Amino acid sequence: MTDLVNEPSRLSLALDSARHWVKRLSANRSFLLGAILFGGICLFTLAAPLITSVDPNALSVRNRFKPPSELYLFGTDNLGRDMLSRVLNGARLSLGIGFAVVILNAVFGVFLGAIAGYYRRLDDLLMRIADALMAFPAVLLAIGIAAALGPSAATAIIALAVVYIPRTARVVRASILVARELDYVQAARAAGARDGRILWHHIMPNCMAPLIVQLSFVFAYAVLSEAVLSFLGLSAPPTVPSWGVLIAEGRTYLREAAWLTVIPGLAIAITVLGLNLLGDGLRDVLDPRMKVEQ
Amino acid sequence: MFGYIISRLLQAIPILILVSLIAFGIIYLIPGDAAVVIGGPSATPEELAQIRQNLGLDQPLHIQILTFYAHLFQGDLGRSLTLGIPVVDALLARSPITIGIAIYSLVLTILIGLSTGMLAALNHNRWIDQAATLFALLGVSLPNFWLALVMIVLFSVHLGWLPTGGYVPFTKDPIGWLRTATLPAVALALMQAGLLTRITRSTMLEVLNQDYIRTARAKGLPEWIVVGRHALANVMMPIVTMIGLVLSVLLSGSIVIETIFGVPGIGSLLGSAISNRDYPMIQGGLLFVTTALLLLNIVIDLLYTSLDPRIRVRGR
Amino acid sequence: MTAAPLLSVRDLTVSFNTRFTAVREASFDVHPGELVGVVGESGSGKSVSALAVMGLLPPTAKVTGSIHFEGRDLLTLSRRELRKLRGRDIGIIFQEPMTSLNPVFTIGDQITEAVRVHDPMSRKAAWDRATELLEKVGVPAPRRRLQDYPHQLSGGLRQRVMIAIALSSSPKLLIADEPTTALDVTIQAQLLDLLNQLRQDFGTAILLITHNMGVMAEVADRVVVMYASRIVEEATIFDLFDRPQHPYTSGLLGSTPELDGEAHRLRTIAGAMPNPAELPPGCLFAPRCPRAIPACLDMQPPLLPISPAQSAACILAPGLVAEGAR
Repeated sequence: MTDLVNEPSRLSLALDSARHWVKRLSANRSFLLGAILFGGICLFTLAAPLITSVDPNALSVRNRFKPPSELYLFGTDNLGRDMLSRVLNGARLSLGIGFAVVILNAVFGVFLGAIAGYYRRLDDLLMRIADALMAFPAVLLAIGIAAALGPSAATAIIALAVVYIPRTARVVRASILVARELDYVQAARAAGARDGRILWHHIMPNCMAPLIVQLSFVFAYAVLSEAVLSFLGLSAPPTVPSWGVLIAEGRTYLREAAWLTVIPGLAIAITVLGLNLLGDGLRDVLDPRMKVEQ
Repeated sequence: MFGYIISRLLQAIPILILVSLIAFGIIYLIPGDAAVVIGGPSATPEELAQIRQNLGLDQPLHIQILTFYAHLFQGDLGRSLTLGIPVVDALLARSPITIGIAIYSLVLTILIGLSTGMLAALNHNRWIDQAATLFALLGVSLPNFWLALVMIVLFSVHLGWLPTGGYVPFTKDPIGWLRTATLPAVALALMQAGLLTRITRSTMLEVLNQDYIRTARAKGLPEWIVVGRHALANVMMPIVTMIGLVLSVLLSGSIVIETIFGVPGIGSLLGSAISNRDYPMIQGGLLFVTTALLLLNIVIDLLYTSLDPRIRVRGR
Repeated sequence: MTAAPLLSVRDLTVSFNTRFTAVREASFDVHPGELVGVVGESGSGKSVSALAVMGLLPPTAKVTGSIHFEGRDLLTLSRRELRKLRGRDIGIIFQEPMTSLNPVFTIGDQITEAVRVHDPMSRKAAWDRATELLEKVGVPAPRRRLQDYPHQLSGGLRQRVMIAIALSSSPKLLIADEPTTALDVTIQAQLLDLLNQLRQDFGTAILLITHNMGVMAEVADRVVVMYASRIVEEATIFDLFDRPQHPYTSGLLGSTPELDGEAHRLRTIAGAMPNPAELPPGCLFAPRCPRAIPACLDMQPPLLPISPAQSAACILAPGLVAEGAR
């Protein structure tokens, strides 16, 4: 372990370990079920134009409040708009916002986590700020930020990123603190390797497992919280309805047309359930000792 | 113990300062001229000047911060733009309602989470365990405002058991309170109950493997005492530390849930503040709820310390 | 030895799944007032045998054979009957005094609970009895100790508390599973003295499980030697030390750490215990045996008597050779 391994064997080692993880993951029931649910939702979202060519905003006063049937798989709403098309098109926004939050978390979480955990400059200050941000109830802070920024998809992304980045940075920082004490990292430092090289080649690979697990949970929280924001009218405008907006619109007709509320909610539930299962499976396989960072 | 309380409170001060600074900063996130956003496009220049003066936006930043803290120390969070009364008064007047439902919901959460988690652990790898695990996963995956709407359809519209909304104060009519508070409390509880189920289950599985459980069985104690006394006492420890988190998520959820059920608590107060762009109210509400949670977490910490003999004796 | 045995184990086999068998065909007796030692390396099946007697094995364990206690087969008792027997007629002390007491209850709580479950009495009376028990096992200032939590006590004191709990209903049999392993040497000696004392004062039979031959020499009447799930030799302590019949026993005696703490590891047994999943053919000890002959690989020798007080499971043991010649 203390020897510095040379590049080619590193590559073959990486390939070997990738094969090893794929095998372990495909044996994990939770991961598989999560992959099927979430993968299915992603597939439907991407294939939306192939599934329905109906304009999600096309009005049809004649066909108001049609319950789900062969013609209208998910029924129609108060203005006769096709719910199948609306749910599928809304998916793009809901998942897109979630994905953007995940990307921002990966970039800033790693960056801030590395500054705090490896360079230890600003560690105290950054962690105090993270503590303060995490002291707010997560969704409440997101609502506050979004309310100030004004409703838009970018607002939802920024608000949710601010809420979850401190949590991700903490996870990264914690695994960096462990990794920097490892023998071969110490050896690399003693051999005079530069900080950047040590960080990227020796330390970051050790942080990947907890980071991936954390990001899959962030995705789940982001989809769930975005629904709350759009339900409150703080996310994207209603012209491209995200799932939360659909639920908010359907709420008015809860008595006569419950499907308007139930179907988009189920879409959220399946997505988040899939992501949670995915995260559980990844944690079991990649990082069995990690606890959920709320 | 007294020294511990003091040090715990002192530790909270830097966090409180940062929290209040973040809450203060929220208003600077408003893009462009905050006064225009608040006043709306039809506002006259005089009205805009009035808004700027009310919010102190016409002052230099450092004066604004100093004024903010000066007011904060006197318990002044500013004046609501729409209600025209001090934010603190509005929050205090509404808090008993939210606290009542929060406690109701917390009790439900603990009852459901603890019993489901224990049941799952005691039937490890059997169908009850799988069902409980699924329940827990659904709990953390379902949007609770959607759950609230589905419950309204089911229990209010179709079955007609409970009203679809409204609120009756407990002091006036306890039965009426129970009828109006049950659906909101359950909607809030189910999500946290999933979280608690997962934690209870994994802690219980760990505890059941401990040597002292074997000792308890070796004494010839009946199984229900082994589980209900020896195991449960050790499971309760991590559960107590979760209460702060549970309440935090619960209060977040109350904005939407109280709005849906028409419960006039802090949640719906903030909900309407959001749609009315009542920024002092949003700012104040955020700070009020977060500070309350921070203090509550200290209380829970102390409670935990007094519950666990290993820490308690050391602290003495 | 002619009196009926208190505990009589016959052909006890414990397996955890089809591949892993922890104990095979173990048979031994414990007579009233006797101190029988079970010795062997860790993983030899001695602790599993003890847990089988207590009925404390996890539900996944498959147990066959018979365990007669005062004439009743414990393996056929209902859970309820077994529970009533546990703690009242058979007490047990575990290896880990640090983790065997519940951290959130006081010592007094945990002793009185054991007292009252088999002998309902007032809280006050149980408290007095607990004080008495702590006094008996040599805990100083017992009244004050009852108020303490486990973490406030040293390992030695905790093990004394465990003994007090095990003795709370004056059991006829006390099982001590490596009671001194986790403790330092002076405390070890004190605890062994205590066990001996209890046996003399109350006539409690003791089944002492250890991997330490020195401990055996100190206190045991008779010793059962286990190796890789099987009993390989059984003898009185004197026969065992003077005339060990099984090469494994000889090996153990060669590597006995003395009670003064200095380990005199002059000769140790080379190699390690076989993997329970891939047992060698024939005698399980053959791969490590310095005296192994080709015939050892053909069959597992049964445990057969060499003299009235000694049995061994080795084809080279003189008794067996004689039998084979007959």
